[in-house]
Amino acid sequence: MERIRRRKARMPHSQNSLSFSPEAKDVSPSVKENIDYIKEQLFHSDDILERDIYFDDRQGKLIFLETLTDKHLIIESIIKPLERAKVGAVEHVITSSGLEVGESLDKAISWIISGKCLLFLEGIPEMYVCETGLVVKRDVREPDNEGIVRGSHDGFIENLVTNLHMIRNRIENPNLVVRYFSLGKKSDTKVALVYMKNLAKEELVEEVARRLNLIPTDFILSPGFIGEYIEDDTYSPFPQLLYTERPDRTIAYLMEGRFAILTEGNPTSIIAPVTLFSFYQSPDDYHSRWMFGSLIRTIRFASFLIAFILPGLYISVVTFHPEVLPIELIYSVKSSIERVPYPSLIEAFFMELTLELIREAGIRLPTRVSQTIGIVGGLVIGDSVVQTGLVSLPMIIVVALTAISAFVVPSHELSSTVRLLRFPLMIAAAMFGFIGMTAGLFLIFTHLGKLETFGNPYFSPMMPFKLKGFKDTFIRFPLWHLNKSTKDSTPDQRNSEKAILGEGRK
Amino acid sequence: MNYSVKDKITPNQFLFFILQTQLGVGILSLAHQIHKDAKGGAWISVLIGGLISQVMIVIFWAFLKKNQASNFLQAMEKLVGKMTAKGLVIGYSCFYALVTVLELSEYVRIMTKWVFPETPVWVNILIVATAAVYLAKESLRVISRMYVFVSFLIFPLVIFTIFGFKNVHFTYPMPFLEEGWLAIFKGANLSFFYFLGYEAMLLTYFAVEGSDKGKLKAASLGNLLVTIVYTFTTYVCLISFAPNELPLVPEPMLYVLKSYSLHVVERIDLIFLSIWMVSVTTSVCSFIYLSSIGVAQLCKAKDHRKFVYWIAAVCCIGTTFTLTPHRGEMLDDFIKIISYGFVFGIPILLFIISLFRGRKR
Repeated sequence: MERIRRRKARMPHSQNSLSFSPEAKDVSPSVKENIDYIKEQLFHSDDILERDIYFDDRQGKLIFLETLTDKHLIIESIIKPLERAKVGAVEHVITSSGLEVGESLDKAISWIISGKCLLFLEGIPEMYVCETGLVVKRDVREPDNEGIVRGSHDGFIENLVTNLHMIRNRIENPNLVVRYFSLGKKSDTKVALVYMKNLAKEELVEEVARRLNLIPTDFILSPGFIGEYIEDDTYSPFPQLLYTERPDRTIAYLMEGRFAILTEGNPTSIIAPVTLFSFYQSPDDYHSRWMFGSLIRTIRFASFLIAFILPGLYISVVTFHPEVLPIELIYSVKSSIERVPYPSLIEAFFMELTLELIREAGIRLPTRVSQTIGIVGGLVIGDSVVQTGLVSLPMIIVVALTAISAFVVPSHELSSTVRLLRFPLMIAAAMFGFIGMTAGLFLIFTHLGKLETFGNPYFSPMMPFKLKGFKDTFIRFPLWHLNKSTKDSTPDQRNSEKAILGEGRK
Repeated sequence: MNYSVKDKITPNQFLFFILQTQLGVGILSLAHQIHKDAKGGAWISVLIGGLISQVMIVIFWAFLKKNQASNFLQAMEKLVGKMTAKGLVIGYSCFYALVTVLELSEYVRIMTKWVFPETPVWVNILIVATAAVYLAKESLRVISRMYVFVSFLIFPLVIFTIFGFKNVHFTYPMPFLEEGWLAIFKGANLSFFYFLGYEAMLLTYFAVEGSDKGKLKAASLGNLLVTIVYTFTTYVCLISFAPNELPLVPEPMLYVLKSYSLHVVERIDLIFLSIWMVSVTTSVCSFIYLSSIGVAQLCKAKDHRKFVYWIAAVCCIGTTFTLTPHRGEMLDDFIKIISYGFVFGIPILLFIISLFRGRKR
C-alpha cells in the first residue's frame, strides 16, 4: 500500500483533474456502486462487458468495452495471472504492459472509452487500469496512388504507431523527435508531429505546434482538416502542404529539415514547408541514374506547362492568331473547326467537362465497371462527338494531351490545381488571345511569388532566384553534388554528415 | 513609411528592379525615333544615351550614399530641410504617376494598332493595370522576385532578334557619321528618355541590403544590360531597313520579326508583343509602386497598398484623355521637359548641395 500511495503522488495529472472537475467522484469501496456509476455514464451501452474476479479473498469486477479491447490480452495478462496467484499485490500479479492506479471515477470513463480495462476490488477505493486496447490494422502495402518502379514498396497504414515505427526504423537517430497532440473538442484524435531536432528550424516547429494547438474543430475526419487549419493561404489554388502515403518520401523530407504530421486512423502524412517543385519530385528520380532521373523530371515540368497552358494557347491561336501557325496546318485545323458552330471556348469547356465527368466516374466505380467507362468515354464520346460536329478534332487532341499531362504530376493535390487553373486561362485566352494569356500567367506567377508557407517562399528557387537550388529541381544532379547544396527550409548544416549523425547543433 | 525587414532586397534583386523599370514601351519604336535625327549613327546615339544614364546613376548614388537614412524623405530632410524634402517627394510622386500615364498611353496606342483594333481602349488599359496593380501592392521584395523571374524573357527577346539577321545589309547605316556628331548628340538627347527608370534608385536605394559599392554596381549593371539590349535592337533595325524605309515604319522591331518565319511558328511579332507586354507591365508596376511609396512616406503610412489602388485608378483615367495623337504628343513633350528637371536638374542640384554639406562637416 505504501508504494501505491507513492505512485499516486507521482501522478499529478490525475490529481489535477480531480481538483478541477466540479463533479469529481472518487472510487468507492463498493464494487457495485462503481460499476453502476460507469454504466450510468455510458448510458448502459450494450457493448460494456463485466467479469467477476475472485482475488485476495475479495470479490472483484473487471469492466471493459468489448468493442475496443483485445479479449485474448485480457485473458492472458489479467485473468490468468490473477487466478493463478490468488493472493498478493495486484500490480505485481497483472502482466499487462501498462498499469495505472486511479482514484477518480470521471477519469475512468475516458479510460474505458479509450480501450482500457478497469479492475475494481471490493473494499479497496481504487481501480486498476490495464492497457488492453485492441489494434485492428491492415497489412503494410504500397499505396495505390503513389506507385513507383524501383525502391521500397511499403506504405503507411491507418495505425499511427506502425507508421511511426516505419519512420523510426528508417531513421535510427536520436535527433528524430515525435510530439503527440490530441486534437478535436468532441473526439480526441491522436496526432504526431515528427521532425529532426538538429535539422528543422526551431521557430518552424514552434509555429506548427502553435497552429496545431489552435485548431478549433470538433473532430478530425482526415488530414485535410488539419491541412486547411494550418496552411498559410486558404484562398490560394496551390496546395501548400504535401500529402504522401510513402514512408521513404516522408523521411526524405524529414532529412531536409521539414516536418511531418501523422494522424491516427489515416495513412496520410502531411509534409511542410514545401515548394512547388517538391510536388514534382518522386522517389523514383533517385533510384534511376541521374541523367535519366533528370530527363523524367524535365518531362514532368513540361507536363505542368502543357496541362495548364495548352488549352488556352490553342483557343487563342484559333480565335485570334491563326496566322501564327504554318500555312499547311492552318488549312487542316480550319477545315476541322469550320464544321463546329460554337466558339472554341464553348467547345473546350464542353470537352473538359466531359473529361472530368469520365474521370470522376472512373474513380468511384469498381475496377470492372470502370473499363466500361473507358470504352464509353474513349470510343463513343471521343469519336462520335467529332462526327456529329460538336467538337473539332484538334480540340480532342488538345484536351486529351492536357488530361494526360495533368495526371503525370506525382501529387494528386497539385494535379487538381493544374486542372483548375486552366479554366481562367482559357477564358482569358478566349477574350484577349495571347495578350490575355500573358496577363493571366503574369497574375498566376505573381501569386506564386508572394505565396509563402511557414515563412518559406513557395516558388523557390525560381522566386527568389537561387542558382544553387536548381540542383534538385528541374534537373537532378548526381547525389554527391546534392550533399553540398543548401536548401531554403533549413539551417545551413542540413546536409552535412555531422548534423545527421547528431554530433552537433552548431 | 520605413522599409521593414520584409521589404529589404538584395543587390541582385535591385539590379533587376532597375533593369525592368527601364525596359519598357520604348524598345519597339526606339530605332525609328532616333533614326529621324541621327540616321545611320542611331546606335551610337543609343550608346551615348546609356552612357549619360550611367553618369546620372553615379550622381544619384553619390548624394544618396552621403545621406544615409531609412528612407528617401528622411534623407532629403537631412539634406535640404523638411519643407523642401516634402516638396521633392510630392514632385517625384507626381512625376512617376505621369510616367505611368505615358507608358500606358503608348502601350494602348501600339496594342490598338497591332492586336486589338476594335477593343475599347479602357479594356486595354485595364488588362495591363490589373496585372501591374496586383504586383505593385505587394512588398518590394515580392516585386523584385517577380522581376528577376520575368527577366528570363529577355533571352527569347534577344534570340528572336538574332534570327532577324537572315536578310540584312550591313551597309545600310553606313557611313555612321553621315549627319555628323551634332545629329548623333541630338539623337542621344532623345534616346536618353528611353532609358528613364533608373531614377527608381531614389526611392528604393535605402531598401537595398549591402554596401554602397554593391548597390552602385548593381544599378550600373542593370543600366549596362539595358544599354546593350537597346543598342543591339537598334542596330538590327538599322541594318534590316534601308535608310529611306525606316522613317516609314514606326515600330521597326516588329516588322523585323514579322519578316521571317521559324517554320514551326510564324508571326514571331505576336509572341514578341506578348513578351513586350510583360516588360510594359513591370515598368508600369514599378512607377505605380514608386509613386505610392512616395505618397506613403509623406503620409507616414505603414503600408503603401491603399495608395496603389488610388494612384492606379487616377493614372488609368488620366490615360484615357491622352489617346488622341495631338494630346499624346503634348504629354510626351511635357514629360520630356519635366524629366530634364527631375532626372537632370534636381539630382545635380542635390549633388552639389550634398558636396557643400559634406565639406562643412
